[in-house]
Amino acid sequence: MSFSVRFDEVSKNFGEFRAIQNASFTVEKGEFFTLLGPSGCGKTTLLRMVAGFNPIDSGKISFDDKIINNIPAHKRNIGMVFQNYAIFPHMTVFENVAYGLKARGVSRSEIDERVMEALTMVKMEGLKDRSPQQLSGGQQQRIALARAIVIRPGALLMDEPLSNLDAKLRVEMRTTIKKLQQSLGITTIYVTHDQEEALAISDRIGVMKDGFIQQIDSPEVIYKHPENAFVANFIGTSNFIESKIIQIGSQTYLDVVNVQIPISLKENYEGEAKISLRPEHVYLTEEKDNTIKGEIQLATFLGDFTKYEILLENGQTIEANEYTKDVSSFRKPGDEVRIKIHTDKINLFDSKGEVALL
Amino acid sequence: MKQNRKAEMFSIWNLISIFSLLIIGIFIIYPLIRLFIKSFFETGSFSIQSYKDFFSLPYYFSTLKNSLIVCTFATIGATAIGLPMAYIVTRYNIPCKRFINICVILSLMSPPFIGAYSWIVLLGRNGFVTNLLSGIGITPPTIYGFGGILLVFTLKFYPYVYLYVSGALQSIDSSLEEAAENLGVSGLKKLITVTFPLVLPTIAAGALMVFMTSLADFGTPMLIGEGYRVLPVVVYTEFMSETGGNTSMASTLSIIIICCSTAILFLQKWYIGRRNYQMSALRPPKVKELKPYSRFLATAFCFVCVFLAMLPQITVLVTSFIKTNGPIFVKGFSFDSYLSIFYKLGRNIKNTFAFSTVAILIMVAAGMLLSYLIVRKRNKLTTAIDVFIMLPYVIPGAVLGITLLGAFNKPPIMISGTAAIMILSYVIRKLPYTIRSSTGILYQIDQSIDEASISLGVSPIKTFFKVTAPMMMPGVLSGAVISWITTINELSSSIILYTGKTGTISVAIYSEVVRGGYGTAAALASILTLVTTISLLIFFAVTKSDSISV
Repeated sequence: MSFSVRFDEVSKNFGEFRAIQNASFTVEKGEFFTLLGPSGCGKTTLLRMVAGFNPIDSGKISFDDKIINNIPAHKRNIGMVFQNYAIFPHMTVFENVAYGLKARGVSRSEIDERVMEALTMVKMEGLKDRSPQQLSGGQQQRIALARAIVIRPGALLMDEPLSNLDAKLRVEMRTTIKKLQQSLGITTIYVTHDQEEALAISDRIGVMKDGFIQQIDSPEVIYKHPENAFVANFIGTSNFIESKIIQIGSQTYLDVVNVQIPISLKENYEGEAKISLRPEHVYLTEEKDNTIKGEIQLATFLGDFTKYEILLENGQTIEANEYTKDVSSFRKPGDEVRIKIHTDKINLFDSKGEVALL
Repeated sequence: MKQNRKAEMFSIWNLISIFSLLIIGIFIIYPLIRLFIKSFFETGSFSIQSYKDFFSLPYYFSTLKNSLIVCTFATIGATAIGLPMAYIVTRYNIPCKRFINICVILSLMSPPFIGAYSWIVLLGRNGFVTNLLSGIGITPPTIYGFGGILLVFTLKFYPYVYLYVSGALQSIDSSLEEAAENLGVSGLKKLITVTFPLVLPTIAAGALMVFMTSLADFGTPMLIGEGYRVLPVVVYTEFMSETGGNTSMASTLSIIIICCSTAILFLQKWYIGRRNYQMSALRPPKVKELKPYSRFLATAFCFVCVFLAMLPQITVLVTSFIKTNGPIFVKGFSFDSYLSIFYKLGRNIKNTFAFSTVAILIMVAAGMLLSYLIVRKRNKLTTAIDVFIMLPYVIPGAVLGITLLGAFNKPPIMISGTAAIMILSYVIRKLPYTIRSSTGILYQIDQSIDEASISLGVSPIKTFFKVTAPMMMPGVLSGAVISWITTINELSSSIILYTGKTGTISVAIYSEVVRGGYGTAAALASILTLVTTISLLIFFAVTKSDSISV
């Protein structure tokens, strides 16, 4: 039943504003694909183009091999879950879920059966006669989900579905969504600005910024090997340290805060560079050789780890996490520390942060 | 891609937009342009003579001055009553708040000319109170002229200021005033530096509403003004004597009055646009306990104002049951007035409700469709609709009547003298109420609800009827109630457009009063008041509120 969704050179402008620029990628059949980016990056616009609510200015979107550019929204057979749930307030829970089936002319007995099946999947079977006003946000979200999947859509589109829920419910609902998606094997495009949510739920993530897709990869790859400084910064936390790539004889060195570390690059590069270093990969040590000197400015104890703000000799401040289980004593503001750079734990970008050098 | 755009151009909503604009063009724009052109043609050739006459002849020019003076004073008077009353009712622990609110709304909803007529019955040459006072040797000041108009306008329109301002006062979050107190500012100083500036735009909006409505009102100055002639009255008399008199003068006067109200509307827009504080109170302001003595005074003030505003309705209701001998009330009660109106004026009663019902059905349908276009399908066409549909706000009823009559008294569209032209004028004049409340609710309905329905496989048009329309209904109906009430009470365009067969209740009241048939006028007015009250009470029951947006 599910289909793949292919984007070919898709672009969209709102007047002068270029909302989407040349997006080309394919969401595979049965895949859970997340569009992740800050607000205004174009992720919702792209989703709404698939749904048929924003016309496609140029390029093609296809379901399997069928171009859908000119198919009106109500004939695309997709399920959509909205940020604010969009539950019809003048219908009961049952009527809400049955709405799309009635439009398809499904027989009454089959409607009953399929609605109850969908409500059971989202654990709402007991509340079918309630009116939406009597439901909590989380319950409304479950109804929205049931309403979208009951029509057996070719793809499920979700626009920030969890952003109006409180933190605990959000985690619970994302598990529900993931399990449901897996058991139904339904192609899903999910939009969010929450990187943790994206990492937790997706098969693949497409990171967007300013209308451009920055990187498409699995959560692990995106986290470990961001393709540019934006992705490194947007997914998780990264420290950026100014450095230089220098060539001494035949050996390339990374020159960072007066420390030179041998390094091998993908391609030849010399000059200014940006090191991207995750706080958990900042190794605090007692070694004096080839380590960067710093001073603890602020220590925040967070239970399983302590977060330190460290002032480096070059005036930059970085964050470091040190895990409680790994240390016997805590550091205090004013303490001197030494930082060791492991070249296999860093990412390195050119001076503009656009090209990955490792 | 190109096909895509083309398909969009001719989508069903664009077709409806174009069709609506066509209708608006024929029935609103064309008559206005015609009126404008006509004001420049006196004897078949272009001339600005009538404009020259207007500004040079005191006979005409004084009416503009009179209008502006009486409306200015009425605005000041209405603010002087409405503002303190709103503050007292929202902020102090006076009793019967709900009752006060409902009475204020009721008094606003009955037509102003009934007020004028009642005050004549009370304080006129042969009025009850006049006779009572002259019995003990006191001659009260005359009710006719400037003073009478001012009295009626002030008591009639202060509810605008009251309703606007009490709404605003309730939307100030209590934290704002608490912050002021926390910073060491309290009492009167807090009122002047925090509370008052926050509601100032609303006061201005209410005050200008008073000004616009008094400027447009025709019935009051016509009945009670006598020698004090204001613009709408002269528009009417010029128009009625047009066959012998100055043919372009009525048009010129109409244009001038439209210019005045447009200027005021822009002034208001400009002022409010500069200081629009969007507020919604999470915690509404606290109600303060007053000491018994102050509480009594505050309560008395509110009750006196409410009583004076309600007095016309009470007067018509009582006098409708008093025996009459020709124009004179005599001792004793009877139902004669009612019997005689059902005998003589049954047609007017039937007309009123028939016309209003047809008009309201058109307004509800058009209101839903147009507000959907205006809110959801924003483009150049629908913005034009939005602007044009609100035009009648600045056109006084008498002027609209003249405008329509001039445009549609000959083929291709000849509907003068028919029910159609009456209904047309009602729809044009009162549709803005329905539109405004419909767009209001539509802005609150998230578009994703429509989209959810569409993505579930229901076409956009079907979605409108299955999802959007049912959700809009409460807003549409609350606007429609106001449209309905003001329609059954409509006088100023009806008086221009009616013929013997199409007279309405308000027309009959007016001519009965002019003829001295006070008893029948009172009975007719009572029927209107009764229907108005019932409509309002139904409205309050259905919307579960005791306020209304006017």
